Amino acid sequence: MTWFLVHFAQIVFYCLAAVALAGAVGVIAFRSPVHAALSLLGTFLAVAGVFVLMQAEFLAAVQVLIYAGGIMVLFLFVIMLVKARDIPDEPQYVRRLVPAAVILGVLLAALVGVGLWAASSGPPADGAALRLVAGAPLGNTEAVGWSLYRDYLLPFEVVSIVLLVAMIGAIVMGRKETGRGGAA
Amino acid sequence: MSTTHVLVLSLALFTLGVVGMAVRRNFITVLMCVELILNAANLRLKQTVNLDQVNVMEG
Repeated sequence: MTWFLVHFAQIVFYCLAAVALAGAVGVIAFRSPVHAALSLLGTFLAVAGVFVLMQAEFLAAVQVLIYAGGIMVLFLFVIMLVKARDIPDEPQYVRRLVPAAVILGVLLAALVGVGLWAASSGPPADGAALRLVAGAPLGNTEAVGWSLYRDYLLPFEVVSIVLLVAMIGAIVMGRKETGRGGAA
Repeated sequence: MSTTHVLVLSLALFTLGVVGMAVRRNFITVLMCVELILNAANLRLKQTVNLDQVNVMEG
């Protein structure tokens, strides 16, 4: 029992990691897009739990709200809308590419692993923004706000303009589509 | 839960996302695999911030 209490965080982490990986495998393995989306939802929630374990409660809340809420609804809407027109099934030649894809994935993972190892053995990254915050005991939300609206204000505003342009573009393209296709 | 555990989880999610992007032809499923990769990147970034905070406290 004592062992259980001491390693509680570790056990919870292993459970969450298992759920996340199972969900990720499900995204790839499920043939139906709806099943894949629900599997992805499990991964999102498990990653949110890992964020809680890492003392990032704000990130966990955002993860649940935006990923599990917004993006999942977006996926399900798109699946339902696209399903009306039948998408042709996977072409046969893709089957032959599966081994190549797996080999490429393993190679990429090895590359990233070597990169992580090299990065962790080198000097730590310069965290000027956090050093600024680290003087006072601030919460998650304050730290995010400080770096977002002080150090990275210009990139933040640029990103919002890019998102606005993308939204307008999507509306324009959607309107053109229905105009050409006639009444749906 | 050590740094290595989180990094391995992030790496596994990333790899699964990349493999899924290569294997699946369905457009929506490919987008879902992109989301997997983004989640892996988020985990990795958060872990790096935690490491940096530890360094700040020590230094």
